[in-house]
Amino acid sequence: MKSLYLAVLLIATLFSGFATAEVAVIVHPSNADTISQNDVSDIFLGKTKSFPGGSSVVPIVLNDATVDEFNTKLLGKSSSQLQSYWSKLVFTGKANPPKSVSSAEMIELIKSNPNMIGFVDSANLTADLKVVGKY
Amino acid sequence: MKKTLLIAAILGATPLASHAVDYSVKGYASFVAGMTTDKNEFRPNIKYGDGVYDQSFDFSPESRVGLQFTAQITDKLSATAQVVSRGALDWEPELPWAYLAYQINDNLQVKAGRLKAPYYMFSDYQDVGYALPWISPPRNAYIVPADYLEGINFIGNFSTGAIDHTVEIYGGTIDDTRNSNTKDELDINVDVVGISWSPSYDWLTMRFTYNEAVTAELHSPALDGFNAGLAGFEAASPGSVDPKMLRRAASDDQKSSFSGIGLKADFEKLFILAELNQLEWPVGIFAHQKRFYATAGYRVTDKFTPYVTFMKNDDTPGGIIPTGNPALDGGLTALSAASDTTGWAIGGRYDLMPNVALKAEYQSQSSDLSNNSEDVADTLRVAVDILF
Repeated sequence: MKSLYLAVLLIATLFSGFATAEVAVIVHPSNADTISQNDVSDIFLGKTKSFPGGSSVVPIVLNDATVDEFNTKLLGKSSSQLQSYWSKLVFTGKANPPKSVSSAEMIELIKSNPNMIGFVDSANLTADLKVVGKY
Repeated sequence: MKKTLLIAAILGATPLASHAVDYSVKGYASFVAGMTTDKNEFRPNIKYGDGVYDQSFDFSPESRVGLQFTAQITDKLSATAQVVSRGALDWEPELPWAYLAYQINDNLQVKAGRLKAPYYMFSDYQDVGYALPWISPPRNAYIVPADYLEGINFIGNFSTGAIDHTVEIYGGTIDDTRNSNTKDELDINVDVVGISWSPSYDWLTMRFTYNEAVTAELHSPALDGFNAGLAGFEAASPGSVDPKMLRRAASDDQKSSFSGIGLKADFEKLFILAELNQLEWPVGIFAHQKRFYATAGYRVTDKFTPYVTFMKNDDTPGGIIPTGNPALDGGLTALSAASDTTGWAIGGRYDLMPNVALKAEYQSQSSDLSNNSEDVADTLRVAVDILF
């Protein structure tokens, strides 16, 4: 009985370990577009070069571990699959992957550039960002 | 000379632009080693005739390193050059890509310069091993011994409901020297125009492609030799060579048409890739080549992806009208020979790191018609594919 309890505890601990950071997709506060999860995916995979409202968009990605969370949850790709995806576009001159920056740089860029879209760990959100969605 | 000027113009366009030019350098490398496990020889790529596996483990036939330089001159205009060094060419650097790309709008891009000839479903990134599930696409279906063309290429994207379409229209000159699959040096000078259409719906992507050589001059010692032989034999015994045979063998008019159907079906874990490619010679001497492969792969984990491949050649021999001269007839028949090779392969990919993949493949071929070493070789290969 005691071992069962320990096993349950162990599993619970493991799962809480997997319940990692929440990703917040962010834009400039002046951006009035409704941006769906599909739109976010299309923008970050280079499939579209504009916001749903029509203005041009520049996606920015994080250079820390939150990016894996974003890739899995929003793009549905592992990091190897995403590398492979971009290498096909890069070496055929079709598109380049988004620039990657730190969390602090991300927040600076997004709050000063209305044409950018990015994401941060929800814990790092500040009041001067507009949140498109949390995933 | 023309080529040099073109490339100089493309590279030269860069410094003229303002200081805001955004440069990037990206690279890839594939280190492939392999050997045949029987007494035969295997040529993994028809374009690089000197890259051949035999019974000794060899690193040079397919290994390659590529570096791509891109200068984003304005929002819409960029210049790209890609340098590739291959073991099969003694690591002598080549310049398979050097072009200017202009993004006309969100849905239309035009490229001009030296471009990859987009014959197949995987032509565009055929050299980027990391982007492929195999070590190389099944070579039986990759049949054109030419790699790049100098010309222009339009790529457009649009959607109809849930279907996304990509249409590519291109034209240019292929001016290249390659070893052919008869180990016979081949000079290619061909003007081609082509189109491909690729509709994609959720799990399914198809590709339909057609191109035509509008002028085609091919020279090889064998082809030129037979032309001289036919002319000489006709001069010695007038009336013995059918004019149609002379016409078919003419080096300066070996027009061809290429058509292909490709399929990618992706069911999350299971995926299927298949191509049927045909190279036809309306008047020429070579065999009509009809080549098929299908691969089924399974993503066992995020990192491990084994696959099996089936390959089938179903050629029709080129038309030979016998002259009565055994040497000539024998040689022409060999030149126009068909392949009926059947093959299978089993292999897999392991993603070691986000930019490094390990691969291994064993393939076996057999033929009822031919005991030519290359049609029946069994080959074992391993590879490391890197992006940097």
